[in-house]
Amino acid sequence: MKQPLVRIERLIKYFPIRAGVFKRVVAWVKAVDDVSFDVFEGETVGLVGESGCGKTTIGMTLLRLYEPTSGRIIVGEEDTTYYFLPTTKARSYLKRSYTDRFQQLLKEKGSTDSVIDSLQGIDRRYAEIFFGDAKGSASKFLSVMLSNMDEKRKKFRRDLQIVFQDPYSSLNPRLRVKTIVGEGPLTHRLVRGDKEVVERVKAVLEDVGISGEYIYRFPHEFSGGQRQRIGVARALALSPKLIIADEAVAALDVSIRSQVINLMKDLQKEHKLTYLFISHDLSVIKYVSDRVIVMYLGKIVESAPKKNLFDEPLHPYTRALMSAIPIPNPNIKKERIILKGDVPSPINPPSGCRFHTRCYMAVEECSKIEPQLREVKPDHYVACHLVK
Amino acid sequence: MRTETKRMIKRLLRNPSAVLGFSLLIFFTVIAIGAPLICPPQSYDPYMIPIVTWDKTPQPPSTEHPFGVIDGRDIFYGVIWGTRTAFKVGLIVTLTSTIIGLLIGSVAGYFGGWLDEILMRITDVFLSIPYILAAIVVTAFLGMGLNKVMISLIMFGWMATARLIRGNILQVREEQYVLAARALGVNDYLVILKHVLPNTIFPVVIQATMRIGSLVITAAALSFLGLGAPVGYADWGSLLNFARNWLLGASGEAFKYWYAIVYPGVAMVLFVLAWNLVGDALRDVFDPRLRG
Ligand SMILES: Nc1ncnc2c1ncn2[C@@H]1O[C@H](COP(=O)(O)OP(=O)(O)OP(=O)(O)O)[C@@H](O)[C@H]1O
Ligand code: SF4
Ligand SMILES: [Mg+2]
Repeated sequence: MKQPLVRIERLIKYFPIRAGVFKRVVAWVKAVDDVSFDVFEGETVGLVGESGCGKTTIGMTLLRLYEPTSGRIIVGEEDTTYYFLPTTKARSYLKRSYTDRFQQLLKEKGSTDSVIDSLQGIDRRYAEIFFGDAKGSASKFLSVMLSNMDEKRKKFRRDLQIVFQDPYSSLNPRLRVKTIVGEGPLTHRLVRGDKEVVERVKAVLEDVGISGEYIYRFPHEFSGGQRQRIGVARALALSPKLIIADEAVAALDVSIRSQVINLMKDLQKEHKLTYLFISHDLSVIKYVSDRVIVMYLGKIVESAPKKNLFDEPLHPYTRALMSAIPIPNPNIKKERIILKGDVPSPINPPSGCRFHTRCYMAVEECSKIEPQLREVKPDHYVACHLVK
Repeated sequence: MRTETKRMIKRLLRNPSAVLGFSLLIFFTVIAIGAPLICPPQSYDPYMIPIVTWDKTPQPPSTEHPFGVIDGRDIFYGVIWGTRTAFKVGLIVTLTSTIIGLLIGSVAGYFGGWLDEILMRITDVFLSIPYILAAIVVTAFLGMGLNKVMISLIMFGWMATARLIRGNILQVREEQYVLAARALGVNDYLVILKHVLPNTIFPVVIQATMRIGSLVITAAALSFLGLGAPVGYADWGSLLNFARNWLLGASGEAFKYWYAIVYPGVAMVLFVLAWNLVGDALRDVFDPRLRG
């Protein structure tokens, strides 16, 4: 089986809402609520959904700019969930997720081999370390896992990068392009000395279609599209494996938008990049993605390869979204599904299927039982009671 | 970096009001430093204006007393040594209150939560008391004297800085370039040093620069009310305080004693102007959006 570059497992991110003099937590915004998906090397995964459904939160949590409330984030062969936690928290995470579980399994199954055999993927790999090198000792396992944290974090930062939406706020107005794009390579010591920085920055800038002569300019001296290219260059300068593009073209004019998208597609081929492309705009998603994940109120409602999804959307929400994209061919008749009402608040999401308050197909059980994401056709997952 | 500095200086030289501001500031600095040479002190405390005559009526400028005499004291001496007082009050009060404001504001902004809440409520309380009134009450409570004036001005002078830096930190912390830097793996201290502070500290420096001038006016106002420096102290506000009784001139000659007001007054206005122009110039230099 192909191994995913990034695997997100049961990711939950709740934001506390605090109020009063003592800033007590009075409620939680359930921004991302039990989301799992894989991203494979070289593909572009499109993440789409209405504003506020948790797309940005997924990206930020993946990069650990927010700490997840729970869930696992696996990158390549490593569980990276504990990478940015303070040591005590990291230890308790590792105990909870691995050593305690392995010891429990050992009691149930009797032999280490049968424990290892019952596991797969990363769990199996870690069980092999636990029962092998660590000889079943939790403290040895923890010290293996917690060694070289600096290097692990650095590698994580190099491999996963992000391009932001706002071409204005995403570049520090006080720094020259050379400093902005050179910051990553310098931090990771991919270059040394001024000459190497200049060389590297020039090379990356030319890659994104900006003349190397401009390295001493300030961000405000560029147009929106150029600034977005500089944002791409900053990410690219670390030679990452995955780039998260969060509404990377949403703020641009339509004409410039396609230029930047095409640039990103070219870069993908050239540098073997993987993209997690976040957008609320289905036409952008349709253009760039290989696989599409549709979200609603913190949950995945449907995911499928692009062709399958656009040819045959199965979830009522996806169908409603699609009926809203204009089709260039006037001969194709299309029924427009209009969703009533606003997106409910993620603080108190509707019971059962979160979409039932706006769903035009809802039946009684929808408000009671939460539909699970199931594979209804090869590689096509849907969370709806009516899709069999 | 050296070419950068050169460019900045070039830019400043092209701006006439910046040149004027810096020239004035240099002029005042030279006077403050050279005070003992320009007006050699004649008693054990050089800040006390020597008494040249026991006649209290003002005397017009003469070769011996180029700015005239008021209350028996040489105005020229008072204006020259008063420059030192102005610098002393302005710099010490601004520096101290800015540091207090920076500490309070950045702790509040950086840590947030209940600490922020408490610090900001305290700031609100201080802000709700009218500045001059508070300074008068505190000075009266501590006792008269320049040092007491400075303490009260510091006590009620930090809030604007605290608010400014807190607001800026809160805003900058959410900026995408700060998130981007963190995603690059730049460590937190460097992120603060390189991305947060430069985008927050300069407005504070500019604000402080502009405040130096206005503080001198506030201190003068307190002196004018008789709360500040002791009688005879070389301080522009005190000189104006002497002139208070002679403001209306003599009968039939409204401007007879003009020199009692004009010399210390002009010194004060130019001093305030100098700091404001310098503050403006710094704003131009520090805001790269205005850089050519
Ligand atoms: N730092 C935060 N603190 C509290 N709530 C937050 C925070 N960030 C996001 N949220 C909330 O979480 C929910 C999901 O937000 P998110 O930004 O992930 O949505 P999104 O899908 O990216 O939307 P958009 O298309 O508008 O960018 C929203 O209800 C938002 O208000
Ligand atoms: S489960 Fe029910 S409410 Fe939810 S999408 Fe399907 S039909 Fe609509
Ligand atoms: Mg978003």
